[in-house]
Amino acid sequence: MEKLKILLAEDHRILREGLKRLIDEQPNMEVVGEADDGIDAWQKTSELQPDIVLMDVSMPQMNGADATAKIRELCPQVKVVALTAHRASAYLSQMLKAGASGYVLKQAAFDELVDAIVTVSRGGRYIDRASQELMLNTPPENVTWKGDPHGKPLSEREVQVISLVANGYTNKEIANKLAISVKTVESHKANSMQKLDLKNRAEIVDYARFRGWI
Amino acid sequence: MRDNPSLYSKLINSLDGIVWEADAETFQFTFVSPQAERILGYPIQRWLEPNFWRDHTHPDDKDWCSAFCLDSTRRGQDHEFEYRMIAADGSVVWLHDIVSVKAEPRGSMHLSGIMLDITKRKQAQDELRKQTEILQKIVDHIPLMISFRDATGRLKLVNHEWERTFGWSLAEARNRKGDILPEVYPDENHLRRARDWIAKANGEWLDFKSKTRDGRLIDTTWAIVRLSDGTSVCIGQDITDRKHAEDERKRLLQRLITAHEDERRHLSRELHDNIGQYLSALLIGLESCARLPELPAIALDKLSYLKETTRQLELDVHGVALELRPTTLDDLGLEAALSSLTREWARRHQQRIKAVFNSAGFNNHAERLSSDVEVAIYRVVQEALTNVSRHSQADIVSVILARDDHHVQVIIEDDGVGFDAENLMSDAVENRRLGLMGMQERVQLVGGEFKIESGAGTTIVVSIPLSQNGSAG
Repeated sequence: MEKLKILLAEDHRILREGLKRLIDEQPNMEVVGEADDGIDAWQKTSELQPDIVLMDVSMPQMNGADATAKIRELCPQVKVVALTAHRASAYLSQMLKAGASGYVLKQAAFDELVDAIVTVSRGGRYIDRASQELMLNTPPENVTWKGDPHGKPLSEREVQVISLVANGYTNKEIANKLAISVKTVESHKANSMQKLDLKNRAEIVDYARFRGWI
Repeated sequence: MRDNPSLYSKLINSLDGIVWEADAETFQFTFVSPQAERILGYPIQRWLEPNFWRDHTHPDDKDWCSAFCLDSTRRGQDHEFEYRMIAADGSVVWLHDIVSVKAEPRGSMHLSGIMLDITKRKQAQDELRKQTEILQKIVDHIPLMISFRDATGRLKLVNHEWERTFGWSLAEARNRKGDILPEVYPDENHLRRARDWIAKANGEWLDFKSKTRDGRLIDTTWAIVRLSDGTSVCIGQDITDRKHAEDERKRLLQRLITAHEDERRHLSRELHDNIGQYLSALLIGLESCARLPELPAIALDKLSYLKETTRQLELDVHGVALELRPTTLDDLGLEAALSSLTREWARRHQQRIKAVFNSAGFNNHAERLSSDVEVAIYRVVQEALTNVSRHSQADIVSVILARDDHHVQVIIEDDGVGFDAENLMSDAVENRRLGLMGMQERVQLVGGEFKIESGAGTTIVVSIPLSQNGSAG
């Protein structure tokens, strides 16, 4: 059986060496090259044509996302697995957007990295458990108002109040603008939110955007 | 009239003055009307005593009054004059005396007249004179510029300080074709602002950039009030020096903050990229060890324990790094960093508070905001979220980020118990107050506006204007 050819792009030497040793121990994998920055990574990739690139997200010269995008452009058959110390979903989405097929935290068990390499080499996607959790445990990026067909129509005043809220006015400013009391503004806001089943200001903004009030 | 005593007495009794008759040689009264007693407090009898008039005239007026009367009488001339007499209670009474001089058939002179009590008028005049003097002194000497404009907006008067500051004299300023305002505010926006401010006349200060006669740009601040006849009184100050000091202080503070943030970023990077990576390497090394053949069970146990410890250590290091300065902020920008922050915060408070994040306008603007603006907003949101978790008892908090061509705005709103924002800004709970003031200061340093309102929940609105190149202006 032919071994999977792996390129290691990681600027931290000790970590790179440790990874190389562990990967080379795998019967079906071998490290065919090492790169210590983003530019080096895509240049070695186009030279060595590995099956998989293990790509550190933060590297000097060119970061992991840009290097990934470059590799996907130059050698679309080469798969990229992002290897990262960043426990933030923003990096995950950035790497996936750049064209990575896998995402593994450096803190994850090595078995997960092996799983990721194998899965990705077969054309799959792999996101390590901790990162998956990160995505599941948190609300979606942007809340969106789903629309409520049973929503009662708003009064003219309520529409005024809600669209001013959505446009970033404070209750006191709205009260001044419409020459009504702050208490009245609060109750118009609460009533409209109830009618439209909006739970918070973020949803009000979304609703207003949907209505074209912003 | 003497022939009709009843009419005569009716007339003199109704006059609010003392009708009198006196001997032209001695000035001894031969008759005084009853009002004399009321006005000066002496019984009528005493008035008719010799030398009464001279003896009760104010010491300062005594001599000239006698001389004046004597002289006029000799020349047979009617005369009137104002002088003071001392009343029975010792107070000073101002009198306006109108005297007519008549030659008696026998050749001697006869004096008659009326004394009007003008004390009130004198006092009012005196008061007015004093007030006028005070006002004049203030207008002339106070180190404030003062100008008067009539209801049509025409410049009527400026004081010395105004002339000194701007270099125009009042005459020059008034003789300008039209108005001096366009000279002082050559920029059209500033001119419009100045005119609006005069029209508004709300008595509050507003800062302007003004031009002097010799072309220097100075910082001024103006408060305008309107008189009942429509005259605007404009009171201004040259605040160039203060503004300078303020700018300098701001610049220093911003540098301090930048240095502080740089230090935190450096530390965070160090922890993340260096220590963190070593820990990852250590973890991989331990993994390698564990794969060595024929290890005793106890070694495997120990290795597994070491791995767990290292993993925990690594997590902690990243936690500290995140707290110091999130890499997302530098690597991915404000939107991603706030999204991450909100998620991470929501994850930590899963049981208690929900957090939602909403952003708009960032896809249409490729260029990043300036780092100062990004950091200021990030820190404000961080602090606001900390307040929400500590004090608000909220169920849900919204973080809304929006950007257009001219502004970036972030709103943090919770549905918690709220608090008295105005009082908190002035005194109350020290730590929290400092926290809010810190947020406000950071926002103002990058030229933005910080608003906080609390009632049903708390809303913080931060709005920062962007200059053309996307950075704070």
